This record gives sequence, structure tokens and C-alpha cells, in this order.
Amino acid sequence: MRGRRLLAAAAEALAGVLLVAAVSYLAARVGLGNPLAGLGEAGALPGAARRGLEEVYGLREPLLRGLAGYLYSLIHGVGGPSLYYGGADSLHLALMGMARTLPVVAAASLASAVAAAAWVVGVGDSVPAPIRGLGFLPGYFYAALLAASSWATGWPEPVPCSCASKALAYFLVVFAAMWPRMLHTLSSLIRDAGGDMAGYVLAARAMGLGEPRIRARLVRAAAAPFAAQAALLAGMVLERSAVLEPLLGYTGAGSLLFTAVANADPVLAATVFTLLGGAAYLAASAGKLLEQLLDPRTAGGAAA
Amino acid sequence: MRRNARLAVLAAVAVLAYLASRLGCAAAAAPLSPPSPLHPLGAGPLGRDAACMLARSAWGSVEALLAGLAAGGAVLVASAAAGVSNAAWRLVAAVEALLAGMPRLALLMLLSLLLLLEPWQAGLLMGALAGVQSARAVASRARQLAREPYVEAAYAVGAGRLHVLARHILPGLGSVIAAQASLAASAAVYAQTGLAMLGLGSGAPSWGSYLALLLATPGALAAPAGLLQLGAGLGLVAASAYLVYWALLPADEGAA
Repeated sequence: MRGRRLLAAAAEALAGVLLVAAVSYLAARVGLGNPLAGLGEAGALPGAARRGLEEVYGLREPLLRGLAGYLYSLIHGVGGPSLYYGGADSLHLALMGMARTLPVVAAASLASAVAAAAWVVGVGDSVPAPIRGLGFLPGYFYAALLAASSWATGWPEPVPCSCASKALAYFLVVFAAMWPRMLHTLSSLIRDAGGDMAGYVLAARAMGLGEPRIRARLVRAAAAPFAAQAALLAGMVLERSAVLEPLLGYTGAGSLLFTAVANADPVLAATVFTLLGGAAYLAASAGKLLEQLLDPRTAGGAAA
Repeated sequence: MRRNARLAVLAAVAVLAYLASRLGCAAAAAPLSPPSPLHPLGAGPLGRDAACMLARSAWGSVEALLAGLAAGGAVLVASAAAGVSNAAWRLVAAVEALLAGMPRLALLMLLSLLLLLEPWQAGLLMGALAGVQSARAVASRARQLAREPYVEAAYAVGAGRLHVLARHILPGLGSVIAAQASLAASAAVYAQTGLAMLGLGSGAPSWGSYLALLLATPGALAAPAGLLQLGAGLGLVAASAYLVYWALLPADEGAA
């Protein structure tokens, strides 16, 4: 039963990644139609780059064979030449962007999950309405305010870079956007589990255990499903980097996607979208797998 | 306030936003001049009254909001209908599993490469994708309702699936669908604003495109009027998302 669930989660992740790759391939192929038509050997695109594009995207092949060839190229580390960055391999550029984005998003997600757990243990599992309301605001609200602060106070510096101050600003934006959602998720999980844990809570209170210690136990019991939800939220924030990073001027994968779209570079846009979307799907599936592995209630196949 | 009255408020706001889109905003003063009694938000980056410009831009955002509400609502109603049939329920579950994780904002950005998305188009796509996220939950609830004794009794006296859906399933799911559709609407207006703030899309006037103008004007955010307009623009976007949520709240919650 457990093996079947793990296989199902892995198949779901694979299907998601394939879907993202197919969408980006189609977008790039349609997007490439017009620019390529005007880019001959003597045009703006070097002949080698044009041949590379035809090879990677299978532009002369039928659609399905072209898609298969594109996936094969990606797996072998070739994403096709970027039109905007002078023919540099788009997969290489996208991976460099991901290397700047992933650590910040992962660190901010982890920090917001820890902060949510600390709040529940220290304060309680009810979320005040203003904090719950903040959870509905998109991260770019905070990014726009920091962009304003960048002009008014000089922090973070109003120049696009992946420097420490921008990374810190990005971390703060992701943290501010995620923390209320994490808190809401964790408190809901604890309240949902309240029925199962009622006996434990009663016994612990009767033994004289303090409320924070009891809540710490409840957080521990909710850790596995919370990890799954946190991974899902982190995946969502990862794809929102496409708006957050250009606003903040942080040069990660999101900024790269924006630059590619703004400068009509379908090859780079498709590759970055594939990586960002694939990572979002993988994060969600990793969370589900983690829950299957760690939570004894689901690991034994008892829960529906 | 009763739900019908709240829906009437929402409709009135939409009509006002449409009428305001016809406004002509005359030049007010020097660009980004500070607020005054005549120009409460000061002048915009082009020297026009910022309050008038924000009012004029409202329709683009409201268009995205309404399109998101319609698309999200349609997906959820279709999911509820699918819950009545086993095969359709399995299909909804499979589609949800596949599409719920789709990176929506990045997808809109990728599509901006191919199309100059109008606000309503961005709202429609975003609303539909946001609706898909709750599709399985709604279909499962519809499936539970379809097994209730009173629904089985309706089938026993000869009621068809369409009748059961219209008389028993959809009314039973009304508040769930309304809540999820309002979330789809807010996702739509937030996504459209985010894209427009970066200068993507068709360039039709919206709060996002006004904010893009502010962000792209060197020094605009260093001026008090610019900061005030940024805050007002973001506040209007958040207020519009909340307005839909408030208007669609179930009757008992809205009365509180």
C-alpha cells in the first residue's frame, strides 16, 4: 500500500513536470515562429545559433517528435541558444538563475515554518484576524514597498543584482508573504487534529504540563502534514519569483523569465518556465512523499 | 447586510468603475506635486490628478476581477456537476492532480510572450486555474450530497440528474462555491496587477499599469505623492479583492 502511494506521488510529479515542459515547448515553438522567419544566415541570429535552435526544438519535425527531442535535449543538458544573451545556452543561464533563487526561497520558507511553529507553541493556535488577512496579500505588495524604500532610503540599493542586501530583501519579502499562510495552515492542522489528540491534551493537563509544552507536542504531531503543506507553499512562492524578483531587482530565475519575456526570447523563457514549474511540482510532490514516509497515520495506509 | 444587498453593492461598484473609465483627467500641476484639497493624492508622474487616474484605471482591474469570478465559478459549478457521476468525478480528480500545481503566474508571464493579454483574458485564465485547485474538493462534496437519502428519494420518484443538480446539489454547495470563486477572483486581480506592474499585457488602463508607470518613473517613489499613490493603488487592489469576498459571503456571516 505504501509503495503504491509513493509510486502514485512520483507519477504525479513526473506528469506535472512533463506538462510544464510540454507547455513551455509549445509556447517557445509558437513564439519562435515569427522571429525565426526573419532570421536567416545573414540576420541578427548567428547561423550556428539558428541551427542549434532547429536542433533542440525540432522545428522541422512534427510536434510530438519535436517535443520528445526537446525533452531529450533538456535531459542531456542542452536548452537551446538564448536569443537575448547572444546564443548562450538557455539551460545554463536558467540553472544559474535557479541557483540564486532556490536558496533564498528555501531559507525563507524554512524560517517562516519555524516562526509559525514558534508562534503556535508560544502564543496559541488561534490566528488573529489581521494576521489571517495578511496571508491573502500577494508577496509583490511587500516587494513594491521595498522598491519604494529602495528609492527613498537607499536600501536595498536600487540597482539590479544578486548581492547580499537584495538577497536579504527578497528573503524578507518571501518571509512576510509566507509566514501568515504557514501560521494559518499549522493552526488549522492542529485544530483538525484536536479530536484525535483530545485524550492526550486532557491527560497532559491533568499531569500539570504547561500549555506551551502541550502545544509543542501538538505541533510535533502535525509536523508531517505541515511539512507537506509547507513544501506546496514553497513551490507556489518559487513560481511567484517571476513577479517578485523583477520588482526587487534581484537577478534570479524569476528576473530571468521576465527579461526573456520582455525581450522576446522564447527559448530562454521556455527553459526558465520549465525549471521553475518543474521545481514547483517537485516541491509539492516531495512534501507529499515526506508526509507518506514520516506520518505513521498515512504510512500504514490507515488514513484515507 | 443581506447577500442580495451586498451583491448590489458589488454591481454598483462595477458600474461606477466602468463609468469612471470614460473620465478625462485634465493636467493638474507639475508631475508628482504633493497632495492638495483639490488633488487629494497629488499629481501623477505625467502631471495629471492621481485620484482621477486611479479612478479611470479601475475598470481594467474590475474586469480582471469579474472575469476571474466568472471563470472560477464556472469551473466549480462544472466540478459540482461532475460529482454526480463516478466517471466524471474521477476525471475531475485527475485534472486537479495535474493542473493544481501549474505555476499560474509564471504561465501568464510566458503567455505574455505570445499574446498581449487584456485584463479580462488574464483574469479568465487565472480564475479558471484557481478554480481547478478546489475542483476535487467541490466534486467530492457534491458526491457526498448525491448519496444523501433525500437525493436518492428524488431519483426514486423519477427526477433526472439535471433536476437533482439544480434543486439539491448546487444549492447545497452554494456557500462553498461562492467562497472558492471569490478566492479565484482575488487571485485573478492580484495576478493581473502583478503582470501589469511589470509592464506586461496589453497596456490597457488598470491599477497595475498605473503602478507600473510609478515604478518606471525615476524618482517617483522618492516623492511623497508617489509613495501615497503606490499605497493607494495597492490598497485599492486589496480592497477590490476583499469586496468580492464580502459580497459573496453566506447570508448569516454577512449579517455579523
